[in-house]
Amino acid sequence: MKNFMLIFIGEDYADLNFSPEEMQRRMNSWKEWTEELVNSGIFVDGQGLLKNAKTLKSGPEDVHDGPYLDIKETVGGYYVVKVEDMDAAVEVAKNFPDFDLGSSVEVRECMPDEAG
Amino acid sequence: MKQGNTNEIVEHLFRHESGHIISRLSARYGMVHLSEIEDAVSEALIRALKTWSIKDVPESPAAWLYSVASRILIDVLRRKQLYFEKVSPQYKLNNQTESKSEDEYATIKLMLWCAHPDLNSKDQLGLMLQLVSGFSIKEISSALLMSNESTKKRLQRARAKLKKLESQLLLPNISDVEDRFPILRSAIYLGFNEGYYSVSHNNILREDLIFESLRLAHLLCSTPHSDRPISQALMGLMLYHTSRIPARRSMDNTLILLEDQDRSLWDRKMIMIANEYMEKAMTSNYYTPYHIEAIIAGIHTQTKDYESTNWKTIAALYGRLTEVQNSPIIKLNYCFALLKSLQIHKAIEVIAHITPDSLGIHKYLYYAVCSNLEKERDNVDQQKLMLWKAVDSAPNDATRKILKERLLRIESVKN
Repeated sequence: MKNFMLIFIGEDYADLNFSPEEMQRRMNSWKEWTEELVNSGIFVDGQGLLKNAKTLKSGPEDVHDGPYLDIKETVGGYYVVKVEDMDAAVEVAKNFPDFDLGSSVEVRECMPDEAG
Repeated sequence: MKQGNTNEIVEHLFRHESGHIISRLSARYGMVHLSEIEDAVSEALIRALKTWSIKDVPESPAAWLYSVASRILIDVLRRKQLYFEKVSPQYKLNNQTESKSEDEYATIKLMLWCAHPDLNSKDQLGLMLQLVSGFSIKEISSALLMSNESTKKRLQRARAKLKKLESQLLLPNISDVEDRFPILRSAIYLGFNEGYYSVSHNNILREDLIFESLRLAHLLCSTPHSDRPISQALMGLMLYHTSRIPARRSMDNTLILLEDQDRSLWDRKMIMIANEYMEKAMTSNYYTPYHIEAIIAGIHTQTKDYESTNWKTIAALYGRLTEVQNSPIIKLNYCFALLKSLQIHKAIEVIAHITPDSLGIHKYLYYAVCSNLEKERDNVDQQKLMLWKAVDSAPNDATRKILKERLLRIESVKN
């Protein structure tokens, strides 16, 4: 079994002007997905990220506001899941609840702690 | 992390809490910061979404949302330096004097703020749906059958106007604006009617609007300042109508008229609650239009089938209603009840005072009633002609379908 990081990339929720009701519906689908991962023992860790961000570009003095300089998309959060291989991780990512918002998931294999 | 559904969130929690928190924060920090308050609440909901979908939902989600939103708001106000320079001298940051009762009435106060007499009724309702009920612009525009853009503009204009009109920074004291309760009641009733009679195809939204109106009216009935027979009558009236919802639409979502509804589908429990409200409402010596409309709606719910409807009483009640309310739709209902109770001459008299164009999108009803009138006069050709006119002015396919079926029925009887 290996760890994979699912990185959630998309427009920030704050810019999507959801109504409270839509927000709650969205939360319910996220809860459902997460609970499924937890119950099947796949879920290792995860966190949502706040909107405020800084990027250090080319040196300690070069600090910019925001995650990237010119695109709207940001990393909204990540999950770490423990599965057999990349294919299985991609299967997990297929149920990501925010595809309808044009958001995407980047699946990355985590480097193992020790050799072998 | 816990497993399973140990912490389901209450339905509509976000919607209701957003209105509640906006009310509490604006009561505390003043309407001048309304847009900052709305942003803070929305940010708190986003944080809840991101946290609660991974971790446990806190014991008291509502309290969590309030404290996060107020923390975010204070941060923003601090950053903007607005707080310490302008607001702080008047209102203390850690205002411990905020009494429980003040907070309890925050929602009512915000509703009264929205019900400013210088705004038109659609704007009052729109603002209330936005601030108190947590509806998005998209939902409001679809509920009130306006475009997104014009809803947005209207609400912006209304808010700008209120900012100018209301010199005070805080929400009004209830006792200073008690004269706004009638406006508030009619805004709630308008919202209910928009939901109940809407031609919109969005069923969920329509029901949301109906139940939100009930919630707001219930709030009126549980506030000492407005817990009056007139508020209870409004509540009773809306509940009687709502009890019929399960029977109002067929499987394919077409409207079913009162005479064809399966009465066993009417919500008996809701009717009983409505009866309880009406018992309280009837303690008044003076019957308002809400009372009369509620009594009419109540008669229908208490009648076992359409044929046994007591049209004579209903006609008399509509007659009283037309004395106090000069609405063409009420006159039309009056006329219909008169026909049903075979008071034909009186019916002709009443319908002569209605101009079809004054009915707007309900113009087709005028022709439908005319058609009924011709039927009573055994004038089959005119009866059909009027029904055709009704078909032509029907506001949507569902209504057109019903009217056409009725035409077919006349044809088949004749042949």
